[in-house]
Amino acid sequence: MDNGIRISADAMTVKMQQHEITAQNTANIDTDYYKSKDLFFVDMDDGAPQTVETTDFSSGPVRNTGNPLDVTLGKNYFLKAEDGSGSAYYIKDGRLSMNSSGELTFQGMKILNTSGTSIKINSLSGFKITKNGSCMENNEVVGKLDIVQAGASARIVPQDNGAFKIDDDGVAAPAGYSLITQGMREGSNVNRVNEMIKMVNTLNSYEANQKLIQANDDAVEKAIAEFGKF
Amino acid sequence: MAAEEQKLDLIANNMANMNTVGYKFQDAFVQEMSQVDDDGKNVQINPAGSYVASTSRNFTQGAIASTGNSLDVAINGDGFFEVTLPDDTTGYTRGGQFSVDANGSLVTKDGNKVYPDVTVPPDTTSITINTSGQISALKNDGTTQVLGSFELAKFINPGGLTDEGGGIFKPNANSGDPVVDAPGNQGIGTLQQGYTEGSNVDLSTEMLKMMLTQRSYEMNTKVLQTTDQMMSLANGIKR
Repeated sequence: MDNGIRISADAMTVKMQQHEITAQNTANIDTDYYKSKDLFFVDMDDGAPQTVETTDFSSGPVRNTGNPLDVTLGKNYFLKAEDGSGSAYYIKDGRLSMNSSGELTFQGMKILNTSGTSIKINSLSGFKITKNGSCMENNEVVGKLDIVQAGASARIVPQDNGAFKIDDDGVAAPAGYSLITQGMREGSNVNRVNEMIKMVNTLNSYEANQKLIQANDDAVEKAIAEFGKF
Repeated sequence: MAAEEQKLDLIANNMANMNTVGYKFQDAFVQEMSQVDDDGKNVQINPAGSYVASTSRNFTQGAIASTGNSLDVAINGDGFFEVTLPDDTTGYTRGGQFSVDANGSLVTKDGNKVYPDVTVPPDTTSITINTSGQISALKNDGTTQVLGSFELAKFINPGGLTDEGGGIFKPNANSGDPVVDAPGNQGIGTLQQGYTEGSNVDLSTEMLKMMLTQRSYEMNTKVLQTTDQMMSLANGIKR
């Protein structure tokens, strides 16, 4: 019976973890480029399921903004950037900016071209990005965005600044890529209905496990009170 | 939910300024908030919701409308008017509703003097401003006097300008230094006398943003209620 209580308690903890993820997804239901998280359950023979947190990298719904610094990349594709100290980061969030030197940036990190340097433009009015990532200013090529694809077993770790780190042998430059779209933004890929359903299921499951703990507790109490009677 | 409230504030402000000359709408840059621990093998993500990381102004051109007022000037294209602020520093604005103050100086709606100074002589019958910014006065005696010229300032990253409020902006490290020249040079926009630039707020977009924000707020309250129920259940284990 103690084992029963432990299993139910573990299950409740796991359900609370699932709920935290639902809360995080719901809090970011309107955050552009947000990738929804989920809990992946692995059945264990002797207890509550083990959990692994996963990120869903599918694209959110795209919309036209007309902002030349907005881009969408397509599922599993990232831009490459580097911060002030030269560390490499991978960007999925296409809300780009410019710094005062005219370089393309994201959250202060410089977006890199295929030669590994930053992309510099003089003015936004003539700035165009073609479908394969070439950057043009007034019809002259000024650089090509370094767009990479994460391998199937790549370890993609989200960072605090909204970018990702991917272990080096997990990325490759895709051949024949032509999915980048300028002037459009991706919304959050959180599915409202799914999150609501998950939340209802989590609550029911939580309650069911709570009742089980109470039942086990009652059984133990009975065992102490009745069987121990002299 | 706090992030959604902040977004609503921005949307409300945008809608309130739908008819303000030269107004540029604000957007919230919302990001996921979380703290990530990566020990090389396992990644632990401590979620913390979402937050408004920054707000930005969108500097796309507003629609130009005729007012028939000779001291209304609209900028068609990139660039800002230069004005001298009360503390003697230079500010930059798109708002081109000018007038002549008691001293004969050309000033903006808020009373800031146009930079470089332009003085309108008292015997002026009418003022002409051409597309390159030259300001000339037709005098009582039929002669024409050139009073000066508008200079416009262009920034490589206008989105990075410091928002002083009231349509006044100031440069900083993010925006780059002002490139000042006559309208029409170096990609700077031209001027149109007798016109004002309307706000660039699109009402239908703001309404849509408002509806989405409200629904998201509602959904987050449901999550909050569920968390409350779960905690109550946990508390109820011990009767």
